[in-house]
Amino acid sequence: MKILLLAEHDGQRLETATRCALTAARAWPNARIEVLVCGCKADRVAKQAAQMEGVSGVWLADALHLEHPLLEDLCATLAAMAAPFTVVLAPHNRFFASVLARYAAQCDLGMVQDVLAITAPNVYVRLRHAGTALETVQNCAPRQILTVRASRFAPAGSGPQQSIRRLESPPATQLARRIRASAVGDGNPRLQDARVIVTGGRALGARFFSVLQPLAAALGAEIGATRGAVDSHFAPRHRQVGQTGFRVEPALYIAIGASGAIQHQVGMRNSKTVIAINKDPHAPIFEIADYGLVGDLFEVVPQLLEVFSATQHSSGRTPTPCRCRYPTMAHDAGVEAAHAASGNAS
Amino acid sequence: MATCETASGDEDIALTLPAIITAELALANPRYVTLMELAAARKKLVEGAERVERLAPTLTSLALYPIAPRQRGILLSSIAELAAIIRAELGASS
Repeated sequence: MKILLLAEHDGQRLETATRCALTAARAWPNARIEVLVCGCKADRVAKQAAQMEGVSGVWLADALHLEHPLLEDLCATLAAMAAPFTVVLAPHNRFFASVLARYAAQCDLGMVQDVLAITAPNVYVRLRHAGTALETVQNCAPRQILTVRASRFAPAGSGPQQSIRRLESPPATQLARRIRASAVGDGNPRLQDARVIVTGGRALGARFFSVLQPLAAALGAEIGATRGAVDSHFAPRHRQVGQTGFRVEPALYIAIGASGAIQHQVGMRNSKTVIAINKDPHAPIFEIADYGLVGDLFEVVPQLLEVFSATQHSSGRTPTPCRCRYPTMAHDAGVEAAHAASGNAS
Repeated sequence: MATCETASGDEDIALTLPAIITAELALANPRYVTLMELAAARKKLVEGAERVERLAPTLTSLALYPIAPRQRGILLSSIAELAAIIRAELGASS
């Protein structure tokens, strides 16, 4: 039996999520696991993939149109070579979920997304009902296609270097063309991988980043946002935590001025420790927080920051300040100050 | 042409028609049905689509159970207390 793992990478480095998905793939006993790396000049990534413990071989599809692939093109590359594989899996993200869904539809196969656990070779645990319930689901299809939640599987270690084979990928499908792409990503580690997250709600208003940035820097945390804050354009969408944003599971989650709507809870309820700061003592966030503090965030956060800057927390890494696509915020005096502060620190 | 969110930002994609797209909730305001339209809709003929033969669904739900809810925690009374807890948690997780 052969398993194909679609690798997630940034062109240079294999994402940890790929290592986690490899651990998930090892749930199938005695299987030969091969990794597909699609990219442009991605030899380095392929080499890293070939050194993962448990991998039997790596396929490298190297083509210009696969550097930032469109879903149609990545799917075409996958479809051209995946037929001999009984299981096709990938770490879960929006893009890979779309690619594998398209592939599954082309093969007339069912697929399971965002798998939390694999209990038997075709039995999976996934979330249902907006994350309030767990479902055990069996896929009786002859081939298994799935995406797995990386944070639920330990990353695979390193092993002896396995062979890398080059793959002729089909030409670009031309079904879609990318006219423009903008990255508002700020070079920070991704929200899903963050150890500490400070999340702000709509209550922060236009001072969203000027209030949260210094605190996040002091705690070595990433900044998250509720949907309310994102929809009001106080924070960019790639920081949204919740049902329609990212689902995060950090060791420490600090919700500031977030009421704790069920849609938000879905995105963060699996965090290890939850701390909530809110003006309203009846806010639902306090129902699920391990520790709560009732107070005005505009007073609490600066005071908290004072305590932390008095005894500088020796965090290993200070996140780079967020370069935001909203000009009003980028010119926010507080953000500028944070830029300066972190510049001095490093 | 459509603008869509990506993991790191957004992008404009030009598509060859026919194409399938999904829309974000925030894309547009919902179109609510007026009473007149509701009445007019009753007279409209509903066309049936031809059924396409597909394989039988292969997914079976074996069990469905609620996630144990998080318990309500402790309400703190001071910033100092909060800072001490954050420091302890940061220490524990690093």
